[in-house]
Parts: sequence; structure tokens; C-alpha cells
Amino acid sequence: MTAEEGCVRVAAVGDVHLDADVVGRYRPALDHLGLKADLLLLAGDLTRHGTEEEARCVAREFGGLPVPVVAILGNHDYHSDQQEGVAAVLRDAGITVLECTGTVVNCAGVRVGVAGTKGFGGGFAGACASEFGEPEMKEFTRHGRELAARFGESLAALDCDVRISLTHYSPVPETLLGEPLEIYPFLGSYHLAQAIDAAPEVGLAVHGHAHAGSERGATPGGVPVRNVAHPVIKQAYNVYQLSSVLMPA
Amino acid sequence: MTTDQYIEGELQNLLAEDGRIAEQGIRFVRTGSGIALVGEVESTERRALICQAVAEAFPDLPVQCNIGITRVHEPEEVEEL
Repeated sequence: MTAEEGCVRVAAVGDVHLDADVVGRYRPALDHLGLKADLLLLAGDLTRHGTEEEARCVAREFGGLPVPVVAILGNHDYHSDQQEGVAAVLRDAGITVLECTGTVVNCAGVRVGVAGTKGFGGGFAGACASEFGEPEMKEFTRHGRELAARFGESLAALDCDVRISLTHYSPVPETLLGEPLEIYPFLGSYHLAQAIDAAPEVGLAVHGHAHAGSERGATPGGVPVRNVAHPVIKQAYNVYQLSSVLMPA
Repeated sequence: MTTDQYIEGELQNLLAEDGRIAEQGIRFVRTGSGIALVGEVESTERRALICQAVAEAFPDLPVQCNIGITRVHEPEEVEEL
């Protein structure tokens, strides 16, 4: 595997669930990351319980790497209500943490824009939640919609050559295949796909969260979607080459 | 709903809500009178904790632990999109 001029190679993994018992486990596989990829995306659920102590394990494992590391948090990273502290620990380690925000990474002259959000559930067309009935149901639905709308704005606003969507929850049902159909509304939302398809030049959408799901899918608009949850990809990270869309004008 | 279904529901909540475990990716398969735990976790310690917690909560339930440890080797291939 060698770098090819003009191509962007994106490494990605999610759901690594780090804690003191697994610190150092990924490091051997990250030794050659600089030879294999131009940036690394972390698709949320980086910790088990969302504590700052666990975030320090993530910082040790994924800090100081030879390529830029861009992360979003997942639902586990919110469990202890320390998500701001978790993000701060990661940022101190040089990891860019996104939430309805974006960043642009220069990869061999190609400006790669990454917008990220945890996202949320809500389900998919024909079987989705609506803002109707009890306040709790309205709030559940509204949270996912609002995150997707803000995420979509940050994705579209990026000044770059190619865009990448980074979410924890899935934008499409195809990458959930293998999960029980009954829990799809807790695994993703079509509003995320809608936001991705509304932005120009999106070359890849990466997500995690669905441990028993499938790796490959696409949005209705044709953007490749990849579920990089660690139990799905079954290796330290996957590498995707955006050769078809990233030649600078 | 049978007793087995109630047990499955309680197991699912136990694995997510027990502070020692916090796993949402483990699934259950019925095996005659018992149950098999299926999925992958990040360490042998976590697998042992899951089996211990289930045994503590359901001491009379025959449990097979078919939980694997997710591999962390380097990728050898690139997918061109």
C-alpha cells in the first residue's frame, strides 16, 4: 500500500471503547499509519462510560500520530455527562473534535473538508419518529432533526475540494443490515442522509454505532456510506481512497 | 410473552446499565433451556465481566459465552471509492 499522488487516503474506525484495560492495544497497528493514510477519522464511542479518565486513554492511544486525527463523540461518550471534558482532553492531545462543526485538512494539496456530528436516532423513511404526541417523543424527534440541520449547514459551508461526513449514528439503513430491524430508529436517521445529499462534492460518509451492522451502503444521492464500527471492520482501521472525486480543479 | 423473553429484556438492560459493563453490542440466542451470548468486545477482561454479571443475575440460567475479542491488526487493503 503506497501513497499515490493526488489521492486522499482516509483511515477510519469507530466504537473503540477505550479504557485502561485496552490502552496500547491499537498502537502497533498505528505504527505505519503515516504510510497508509493521510488522515484518521474516529467515528465516536471512543470511551466506555464517557469519563475524562477514559478520554485520557483515548488521548494516549490516538494522540501524537503522524497524520491529522479528526473525531466526533458517540452516545457512550455522553454517558457520564462529561462530554465537554472528554472533548477537551482529546483536543489537548491534538485531536480535532467536531460537533456540528467542520475542519479542512490539506492532504497533498487537496483540501479535504470534514464535518461531523454525533447525530441521533429517529429512523428512516417510512418508519421514522415524528414530532407528535408526548413531549418526550417530540423531544426525541426534534433532537435528531436539529443536529442533522446544524450538521448539514457545517458540511455545506466547508471551503474545500472534497467533503467527508463523519457521524456516529447512521445516515442510511443499508449499513445497519444485521441489526434487529426493531432498533433501527435508535441507530440512525434519514435526516443525516438528507443533509449529506444537500451538500456538494461529498465523497464519503463514515459512521459507527451499529456493531452488528454491515460495512457498505450509499445515500439516496449516491454518496458512499461506510460503517466503520470496530466489530464491523474487524481490524484497527479501514482505509478508503477518494480517487474519483478529489482531483483539484 | 414468555419468561425467556422477559429474561432477554432484563439481560439487555443489565449489559448496558451495569456500570462494570456498558455494552450495547451483545446479542442473545436461545439454546434449548439456556442462552448464548454473541458479539465482540475489546478485551478478555470485559468478556469475563459480562459472563460473571450474567451468572450473578441469573444463577439458574445455562449460559454459553460465545463472545469474541475484536482484532486490531493493520489493514492490508485500500478500498477505492
